[in-house]
Amino acid sequence: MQSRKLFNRISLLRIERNVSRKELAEAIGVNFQTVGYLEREEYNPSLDLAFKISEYFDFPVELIFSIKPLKPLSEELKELKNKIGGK
Amino acid sequence: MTQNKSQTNRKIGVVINLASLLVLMVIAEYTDKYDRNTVLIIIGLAALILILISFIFTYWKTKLWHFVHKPIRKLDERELQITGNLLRIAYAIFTVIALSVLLLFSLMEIQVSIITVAALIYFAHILPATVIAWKGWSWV
Repeated sequence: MQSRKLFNRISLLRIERNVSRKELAEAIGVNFQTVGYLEREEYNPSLDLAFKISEYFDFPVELIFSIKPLKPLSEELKELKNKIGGK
Repeated sequence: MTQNKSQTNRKIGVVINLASLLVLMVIAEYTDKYDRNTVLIIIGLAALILILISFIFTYWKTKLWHFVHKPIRKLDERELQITGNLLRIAYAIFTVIALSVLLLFSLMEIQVSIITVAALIYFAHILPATVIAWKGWSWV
């Protein structure tokens, strides 16, 4: 079965938090090469791994992974803020 | 560019390894059943040395051997997925080749020698790593 490509912000979040691939890999229990594959969007994680990553960064899973190309995080947060402000 | 070069080197290593294995097997069977002369023994030894050298450069130094022989509990989900696909392909190739060899021996009414059995065991062990060496990692 050919699965859909998943886009993610792992690389962005990892660099922002100043975490190495090895540290992230140890925290989520995978090989550090797998982190590279995830960052290059060459491998789709399982649901369990996606939740582990979201728990590690303390971010909702839908802000890290998407089936559509991701917008810059600042733009996304601005939209979210407007949505909340509009209510 | 470097990746393409190492991929080509690995393919060359695979061809040398498997060709030498075949040469060794044929010579061992021939010398065992028909004629045992010095030239054939030297060629057989040269094939054995080529197998060892190509094994070191293609499977050992590239860590492909280590990857396919890692215990399951030490593999993460991506590695498990790769291993599953590799073993599926390797199993299909091995059964066809091993059964064809046995069929050939049976048709020629030749007894299978210990060298052929050893060669098939070695072949079964290097086959999953050979698939990666040949196709690279990105196909999985």
